[in-house]
Amino acid sequence: MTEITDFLNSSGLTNLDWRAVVMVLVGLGFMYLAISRDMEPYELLPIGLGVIIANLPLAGMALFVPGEMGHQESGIFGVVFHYGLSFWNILPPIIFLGIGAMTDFSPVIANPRTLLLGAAAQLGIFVAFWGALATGLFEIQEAAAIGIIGGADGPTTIFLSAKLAPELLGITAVIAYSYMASVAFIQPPLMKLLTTEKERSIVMRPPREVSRAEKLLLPPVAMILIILVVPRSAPLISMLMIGNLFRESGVVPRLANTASNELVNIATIFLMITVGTQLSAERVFDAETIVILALGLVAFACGTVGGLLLAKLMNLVLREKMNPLIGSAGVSAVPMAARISHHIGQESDPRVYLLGHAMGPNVAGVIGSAVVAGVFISLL
Amino acid sequence: MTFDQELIRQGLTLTAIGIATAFGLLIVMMVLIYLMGWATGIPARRAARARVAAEAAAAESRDRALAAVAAVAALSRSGEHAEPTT
Repeated sequence: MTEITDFLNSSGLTNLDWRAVVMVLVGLGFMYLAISRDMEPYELLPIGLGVIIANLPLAGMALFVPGEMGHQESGIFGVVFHYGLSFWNILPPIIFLGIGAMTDFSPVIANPRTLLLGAAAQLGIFVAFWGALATGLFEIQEAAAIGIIGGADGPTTIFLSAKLAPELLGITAVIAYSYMASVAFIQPPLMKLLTTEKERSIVMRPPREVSRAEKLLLPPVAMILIILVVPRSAPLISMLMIGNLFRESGVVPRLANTASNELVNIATIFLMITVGTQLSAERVFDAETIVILALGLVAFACGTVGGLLLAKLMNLVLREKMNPLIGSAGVSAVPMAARISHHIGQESDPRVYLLGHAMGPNVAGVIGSAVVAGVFISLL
Repeated sequence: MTFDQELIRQGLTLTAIGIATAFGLLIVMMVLIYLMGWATGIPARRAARARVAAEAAAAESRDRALAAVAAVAALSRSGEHAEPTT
């Protein structure tokens, strides 16, 4: 009888509380959005599974016990979190290597002024940063980790949170990816509110053909420049540019393929499930989480507004006007934000073709948010 | 809400440096990309100029040849109608 009681006491069923049940349902919700709605499936599906794993009592998958005794006690995702994120923080740079190998920088090279839109869209980071400070609930490092959600860049958010506020990592990462998956709902109302029908109907000339030499020169030049100014952004920027040079060189197709497929996929599996396991019930059921959720939304909205308004401002001085809708793509969220710019443009005039143009600010947003993350890490 | 002076100062410094660095770096990158486009376009522009010059030279020699043919044809036609001199 004692054995049965002991077994029941060691069972998850007897240790389940209502908050864990709610979190399991949240995990199932993420899985539903990924599978049925195709919303950021590569992120939300593993995160959803991680949430479920983390909230099953006594499973200990996210547990990390340091020292000799902990070797057999630590869970796989606890170990991945410790070594992959909080200790060495190597997973986000590996993802950046893959992003670099997958991204074509031609739109930025063809129209370099779109880089400014990527910079303006970083406005959301600072608005959310100040919002977090104003609540008085967060330390300045935590405020920076919350602000970076506005960069709409998952790996950058994870990289910065793991460095400055590891206790917020799960929340900030999930909120960043959730809002990135929701840009189709967040951005269009703001885009329509801040632009006129006439502006949305501006037809832009197709981007010029970019030479191979330009594509080969950009990664090393950008890498040297950015790392010289902000060395703490090196883990992200260097990997992004290395991946892109693998792609553009054309001489290492196996490396480019591995970086953009197998390697990034392996890193994504461990990173996303691990991020999900950081969403335990005791962390989520907290007033701070609700505040971060609201600040993340403000950050996304302000980033969108920043990009749009700068595009309108630039139109005042440009001879050849640009469609201001491409400004909203400066929030990163590659390539969803660019697709939304394109769709909204097409709604106004079917001749408006913005996808190629909007990828410029989109890529600039990735670089811009990595730079801001580097500045935060340098100064905090 | 706790907003002490030190926190405000630190926040303002971060914001100013963050925005200035992001804009500054991206502006410098923009300039560098324009320069790269200009520099990598030099050989192409040279090649285009050389092609135009070669085409012009070819057209000129073709015109000269045509003119010569026309002149010879005209001369020989005028020779056909000329009275024998001997």
